[in-house]
Amino acid sequence: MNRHCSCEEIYRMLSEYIDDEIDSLMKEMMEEHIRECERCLSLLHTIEKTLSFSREIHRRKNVPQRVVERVYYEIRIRYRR
Amino acid sequence: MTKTDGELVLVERAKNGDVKAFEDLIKITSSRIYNLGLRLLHNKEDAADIMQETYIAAYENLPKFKGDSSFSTWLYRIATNFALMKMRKEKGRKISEERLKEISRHLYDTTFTDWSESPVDHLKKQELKEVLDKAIESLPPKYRSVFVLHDIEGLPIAEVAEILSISKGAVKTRSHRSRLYLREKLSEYFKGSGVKNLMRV
Repeated sequence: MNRHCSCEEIYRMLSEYIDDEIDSLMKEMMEEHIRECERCLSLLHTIEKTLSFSREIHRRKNVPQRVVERVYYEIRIRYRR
Repeated sequence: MTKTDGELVLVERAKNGDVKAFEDLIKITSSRIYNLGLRLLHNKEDAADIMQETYIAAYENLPKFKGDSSFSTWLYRIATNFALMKMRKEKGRKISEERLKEISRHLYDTTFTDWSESPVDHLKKQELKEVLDKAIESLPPKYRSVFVLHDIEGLPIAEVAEILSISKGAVKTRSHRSRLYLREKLSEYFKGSGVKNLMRV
């Protein structure tokens, strides 16, 4: 591999790395850098943790039945044939 | 028959005036639409309103649905548009787009502390929820919608782009800036600057 990633590139492209939106060569270069760079590894870990916390606190909740009933009612009274 | 095929059969029946078929579509999709409203607006009443407005608009516009996207994507688009209208009327202060851009340009000067393995007890979890909710709410609507659709709903970038009628590049940029900003807010929390300070945008 001839080219190396800089910390700035990692910072700019980390989301694309997380989303798997980069080609395999770039992915390999980024991983090589992250393995050696504690700062970029911390950045990766903390972004991933931010995302997992966000998902955890927004777990899907059940729709209250009265809310569904209200929608049914609105549709029925407006569009009953 | 796949889930999408099943939806399309119900859509065709609803288009022909079968209200029961439309109710079945509501049954299948309401959890996603209600939770999208909750996640975007953080308020049960608003989520219920968004859901009602979405299904009434969907029913009225069914003849225009050509099946170019999935029915769920189409519903997501309607619901997100209603939510965006509500978000734009919100009174709370928002982080400026300039600041979001600045974070994605200059934050690299700082040293990063890896707090990802920090123990989080029940109390801390509550505080974290408060910090994160407030930070997500302070994102400008066009950033919050991308963050919620992509990172919380888990929709792929291409689908988010379709829902918001923006390019994939714009989704990626907004997603990256939002993530960096939220990460920064959590870093401040773990550095111990206190919940009170973090409540400020």
